[in-house]
Amino acid sequence: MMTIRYVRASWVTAAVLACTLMSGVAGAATTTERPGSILIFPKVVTTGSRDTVIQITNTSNMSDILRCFYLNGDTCAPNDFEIALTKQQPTEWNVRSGRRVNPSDSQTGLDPGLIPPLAENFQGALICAEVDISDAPVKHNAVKGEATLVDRSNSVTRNAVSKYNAVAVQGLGTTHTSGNMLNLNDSDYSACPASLIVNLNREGSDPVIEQLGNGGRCVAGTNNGAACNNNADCNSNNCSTGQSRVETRVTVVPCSLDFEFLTLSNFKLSFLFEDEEETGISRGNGPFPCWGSFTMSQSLVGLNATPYMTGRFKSVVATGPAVPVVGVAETFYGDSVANTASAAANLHSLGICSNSTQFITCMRDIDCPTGTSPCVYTTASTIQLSSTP
Amino acid sequence: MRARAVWKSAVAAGGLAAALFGAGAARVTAQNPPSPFPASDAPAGYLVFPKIQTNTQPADPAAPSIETVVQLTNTSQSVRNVHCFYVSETDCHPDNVNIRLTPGQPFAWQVSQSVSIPPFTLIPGRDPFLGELKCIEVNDPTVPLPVNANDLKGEATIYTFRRTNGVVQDVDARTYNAIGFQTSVVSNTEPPGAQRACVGSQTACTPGGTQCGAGTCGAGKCVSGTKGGQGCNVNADCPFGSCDALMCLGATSGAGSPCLAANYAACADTLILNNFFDQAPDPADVNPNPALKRKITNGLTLVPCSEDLTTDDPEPITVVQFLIFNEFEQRMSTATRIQCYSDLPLSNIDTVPGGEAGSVFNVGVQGTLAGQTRIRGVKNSDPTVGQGMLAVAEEFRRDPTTGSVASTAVNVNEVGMPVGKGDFVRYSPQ
Repeated sequence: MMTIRYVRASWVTAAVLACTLMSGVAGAATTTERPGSILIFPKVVTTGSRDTVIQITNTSNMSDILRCFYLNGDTCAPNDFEIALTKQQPTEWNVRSGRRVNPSDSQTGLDPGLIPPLAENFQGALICAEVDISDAPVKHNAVKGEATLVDRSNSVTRNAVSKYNAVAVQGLGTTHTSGNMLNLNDSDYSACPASLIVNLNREGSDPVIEQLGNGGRCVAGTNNGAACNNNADCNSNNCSTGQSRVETRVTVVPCSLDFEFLTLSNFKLSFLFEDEEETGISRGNGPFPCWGSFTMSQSLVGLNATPYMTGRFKSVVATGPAVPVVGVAETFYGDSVANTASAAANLHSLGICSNSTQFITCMRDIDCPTGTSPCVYTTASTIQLSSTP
Repeated sequence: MRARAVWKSAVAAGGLAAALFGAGAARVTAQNPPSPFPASDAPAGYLVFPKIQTNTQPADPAAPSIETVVQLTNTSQSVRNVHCFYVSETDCHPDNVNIRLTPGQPFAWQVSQSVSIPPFTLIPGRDPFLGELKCIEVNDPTVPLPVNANDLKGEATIYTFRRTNGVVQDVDARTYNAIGFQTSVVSNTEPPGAQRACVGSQTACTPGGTQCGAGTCGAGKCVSGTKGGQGCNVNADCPFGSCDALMCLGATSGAGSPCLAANYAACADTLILNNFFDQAPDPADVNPNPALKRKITNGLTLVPCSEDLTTDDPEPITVVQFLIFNEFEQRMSTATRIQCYSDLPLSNIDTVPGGEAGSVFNVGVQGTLAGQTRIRGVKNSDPTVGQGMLAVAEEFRRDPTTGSVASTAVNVNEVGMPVGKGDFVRYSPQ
């Protein structure tokens, strides 16, 4: 999809900075707090009750162009567009409505390009890569982004709003020679982490809401059914507690993406869960063709866990190269009268002991039991951009 | 010409090796060198939680109840000890917290509640509280000196319960990741050290070196007492003084610098915040009546990277500059002074309460919804004080009809590495 691009007549050459700029670091995985050349937003949704607002900023003193792809997690079909940002320019758009190029509309600011609206009930990801005026990938490492998942339900309180940082992939070196094939291999671009770890809440009642909020409902009396925290809230009638809810949902997208031939990743996830009492269990989830979103409870069936847990996971495939993933975790909270809240968090990266038949995570070789090192921190993958006429 | 920093890695040094996974596959096997800059998405040896807040029983019946849950996880296969400090925004004095984590253990606690798991885990409850939490991976819980490992990850979730006449109306929650500093030495044998000295003398030494002869290279230095400036491992090595631990977040050159060499990642030169301007209507709110749309406001918590937790002297003041760009590429700036801790609405950085409409962070001033804010501490020539900053950003969406507030928290981005000017954390391990 061709878009109108803003091309500045003069490109400002960035001055040599007194401070060295942090850019591609060989051997370092993706990052969620430094600018990069590729941005991955693992969770983009438009439903009857949720919407997504995207923010992207060009942090450099040069103009920057991005080719962006919405990836439909259900159909695995991409939908691409382009945006152009002037130096230091921030931009934003609501994915449901997109953004038009209209200087006189209510959306003030330099319109970065025509951004298409997404249809209702879209769930998937957004991937943006820096390109030059001819659509050839470049490595400015200038862009950062955030996604805000917003509650648009008709509930009395719409507090289910979450925000996460886009996963940035940094370009390494100054040249890219493989055309539309972006090699995330710690040589061309940073590679994705070999495994991830997520902190999660065991699904059930939330201890903080039970203690301080409306964890229950009054039983009997004049305020039967009203929200309550304790019996005193029910005029000495019984407050039936334990009715709050907490649940964690993890959303992942593979770092191997093919927007040209639409080859599917078909990956599964292998989990190791541990609770505060050192009880551990292995689980699997998937397969996912190109994107996955699931509640952790679906993976914890049969595990009697403490309120707080961790889940380390990596992606596995039946045949072919390993497919690393990036993701985001979102925890949903609800009190006894269905007031809701949510909070998102970026996931942490871990390495894996490469010569072990078991799933053992690590940060250094010495973390691996004898015979199982080296510790592999990243896994190579590729992103194939679609060709343009 | 863009200057680039290149961090030599095992990959560049020829550490690349192909490993097979599945049929006919090749993947990158990359040693993970320590990160030279802070990160909130990788385990580390030193964590900072910039905003910890509790007030579970506010006196004002209209004020919300607030609680923070801290989650701390040991990602390694070994037992790890953690020494933490609550640092209050009122007086910047540290409160010790000690935790022992078993292999792979996740651990969480409510800040308002005390936790005691003998013999090593002791966490005092704090309620009310506003400040930060710093956690250091240490070797020995009885003499908690930093250890050369990067095994900790953390998150903080702030709950808010809106109340009317003391009655809880709803719930809100926001989560951010702790900011992690990895130790910069790839070794598992000696505690990290910078400008260390032999125990009983002021001879400079390096871990495992021969400078101390038959003696040992101390992990800390005596502060005051008869052996001030000499190396030490325990307080008993410092008669009439104390043995302090020094963590060097980056290196500071020049005479008088306590950190000629780094043993942890350095604080970034500049923080970058993507923000909606204050009072911007929520782009996702489809209410056709502009007056009924939720409005966005921002909060920013800033803490200095450098912290001397051994002294009661007033914390040094850091001048923090803000450079703001709107969607028209137009630029404005402001500055403020921060001492020890700052937790402010964005619009109160340059205006007093009540004057937010005239702030450079207000949508009415900027004319666009979104902006980019670049934040940096102004460097001075004092080698004993760094001006690096850490931050967490919050957004609040207030519904004008119901009064409910939906919040989010997010880690800010960072760019640039200061040259010749690092930060430090000094604390007394006993």
